Amino acid sequence: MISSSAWMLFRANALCLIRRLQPVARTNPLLAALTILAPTVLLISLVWGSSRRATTLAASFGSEASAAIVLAAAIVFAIVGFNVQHMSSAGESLDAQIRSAPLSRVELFLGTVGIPFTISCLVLSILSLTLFVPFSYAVGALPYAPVYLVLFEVAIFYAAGAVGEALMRVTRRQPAALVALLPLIASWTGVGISTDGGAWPGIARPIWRAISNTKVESVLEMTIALLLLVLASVSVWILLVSLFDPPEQQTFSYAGRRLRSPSSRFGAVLCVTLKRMVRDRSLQRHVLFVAALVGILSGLASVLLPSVLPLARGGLVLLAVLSVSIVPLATYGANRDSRWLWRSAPVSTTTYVLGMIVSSFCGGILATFAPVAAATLSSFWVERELPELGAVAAVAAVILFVATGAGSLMPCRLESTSEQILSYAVFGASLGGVFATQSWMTPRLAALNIPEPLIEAGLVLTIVGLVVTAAFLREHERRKA
Amino acid sequence: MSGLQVSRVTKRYGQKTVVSELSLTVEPGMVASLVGPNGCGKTTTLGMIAGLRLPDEGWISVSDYDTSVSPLDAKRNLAFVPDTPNGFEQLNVREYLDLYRNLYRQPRARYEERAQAVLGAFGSLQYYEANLGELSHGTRRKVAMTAALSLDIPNVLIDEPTVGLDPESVVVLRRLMKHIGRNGAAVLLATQDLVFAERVSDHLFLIHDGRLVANGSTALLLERYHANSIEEAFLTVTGIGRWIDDFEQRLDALSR
Repeated sequence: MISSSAWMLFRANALCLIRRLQPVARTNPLLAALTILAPTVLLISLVWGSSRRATTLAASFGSEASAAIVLAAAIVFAIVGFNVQHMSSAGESLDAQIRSAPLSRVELFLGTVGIPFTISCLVLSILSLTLFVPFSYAVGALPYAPVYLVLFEVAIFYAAGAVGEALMRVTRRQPAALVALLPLIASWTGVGISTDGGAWPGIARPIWRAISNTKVESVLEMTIALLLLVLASVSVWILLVSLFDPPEQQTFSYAGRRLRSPSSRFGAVLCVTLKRMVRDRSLQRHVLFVAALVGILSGLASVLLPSVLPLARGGLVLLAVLSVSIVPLATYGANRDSRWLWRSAPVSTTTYVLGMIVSSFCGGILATFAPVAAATLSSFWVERELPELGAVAAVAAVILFVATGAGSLMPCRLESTSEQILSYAVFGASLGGVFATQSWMTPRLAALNIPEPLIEAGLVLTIVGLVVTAAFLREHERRKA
Repeated sequence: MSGLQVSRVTKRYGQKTVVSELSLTVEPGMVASLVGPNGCGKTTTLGMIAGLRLPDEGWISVSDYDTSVSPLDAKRNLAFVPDTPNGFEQLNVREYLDLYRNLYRQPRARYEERAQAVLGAFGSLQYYEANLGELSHGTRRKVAMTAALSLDIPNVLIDEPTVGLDPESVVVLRRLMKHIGRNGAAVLLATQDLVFAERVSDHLFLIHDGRLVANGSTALLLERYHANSIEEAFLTVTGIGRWIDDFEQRLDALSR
């Protein structure tokens, strides 16, 4: 019974998302072709890239490198899992008529969060396997090492989702949800001790031993331990959803109340849209949490990994920017209900589209300040010198602009998990395309004696042009629909 | 007893009390209306009965199922039509009705037959294959009503039933409400349309500032407040009538 209702709900949501893509494909056949080709190209390039680099990496491989791989995979999966769940609660995006239908909390959760979450976990795990299998073969890791790593990532992904759910409820006046963290910590510690990994870093230690082939654990024991960890994470999440009442509705703050709207129409679009985003408490909580998390990780990296501090800092800045990219991704979706106002008011399409692009981008920039500051300040404290802020700003700007483009092509609402997953997928594919193009073109253009700053400026201008064109095309198609 | 029962229910949003110690009973076969101005707590009350919000105090039962103890059983016995249906814009009407029917586990043939009859009565059968996102607000509401009223279910809640409907559809809806009531369902409407409420309801609950200020049959209320219409009775009970008189005098003074 549970599965059929949850499946129906998921199917209806998925059908809506697919049908939303159809007009985009009709008006942008090139984009449609790229979307179809992208997963295959991504898989092939991951296999090709990891096979090519595996031998080079294997030459300088040590136990520290295997620890870094496991921890990096854990952090990436934790951040993605947390980001997917932290913003919305199950069923929040659903129509009141469907929410009033006889659906249990677990069915609602599975249909709107659980199944899409599992599918994205599956996709990420396949990508991870593609990346790690050639590498683990090259470094002579145990044959089961990639499987351990994937199971570990899945456990982290679900644990991060459960933590996201618990923290979202804590910030919505359900402090008792914090209790859910105890079984998660207990299972991590218990599994760690039972596999000889210790309470901290838990089961991560036997996995990096398996990758570096330094100590062989029992395959059965490791598999059972990892499956138990996955089961514990999933159970905690489902218990949290089924035992606690649905959290309070989202509320808005009064930030920027004294800020008057400018008299120009462009200023009005920009100001109103930005205020809407800045006042959303779920976004405020998300940005603060990302800043706190990145700050803590940055502090730990400064103390524990001083030799690779610039690399760790770069990674944290990247994670911070990717996490707050939800702002440009969701700006159009969150303001979808006010479209009638701008269309009926004497505001031209150009003004509206440019206003939305600028407000998405500026919202992203505003949201980036605190997390990026948290990522860089602790290392500044240790090194007594500022990191290359120019480079950080340039990379952040490019990422946020690509997110703005993805947000206008496939906007998401803050309360819909499935829409966010799809939006993030489009964003990830676009970002991958941008960086792949950049790394392919830069050496070739440099060989033609074109100065590097000119190449980069050209690339940025091309991205801006593509984003603006995509936003105009999409708006034109929406108005025609 | 079955039907709908709301007992001393209070709901607060932060510091603001939206519904205060509200009690009401809608027996099977009765069409009742919650009547009151904007922001008086009608939609919140319906939301609590439909299980969308939880009351801070008091209890609610639907067909003898306490909504806080057996929420799923309560929901199985209740159909709800919200004031602004939204979502699933890319599903067509048939797919939406099918999804809704499946969630209630109702037999397909009977439900589809009823749905087509109700949609036909609303004059919207031609939209059966149209996407929800392409429908006007009124037609979208008709679809939501069709979804709920085609169920074989003992309790029905409709928020603002006449909003967005054309005059013909209002007449159809009135007949439908009477029909469902006669067949033994408990129907609770939340509306500001006093004329509709007066014509369709067996029982009226007048709410002001989240409190029940009067209730009874139309005849009883008219007699109790020496009024010629429910509108007049409502203005007397809530004191809004005096405020409107003052306002008119102030407007006259301003125009002079």
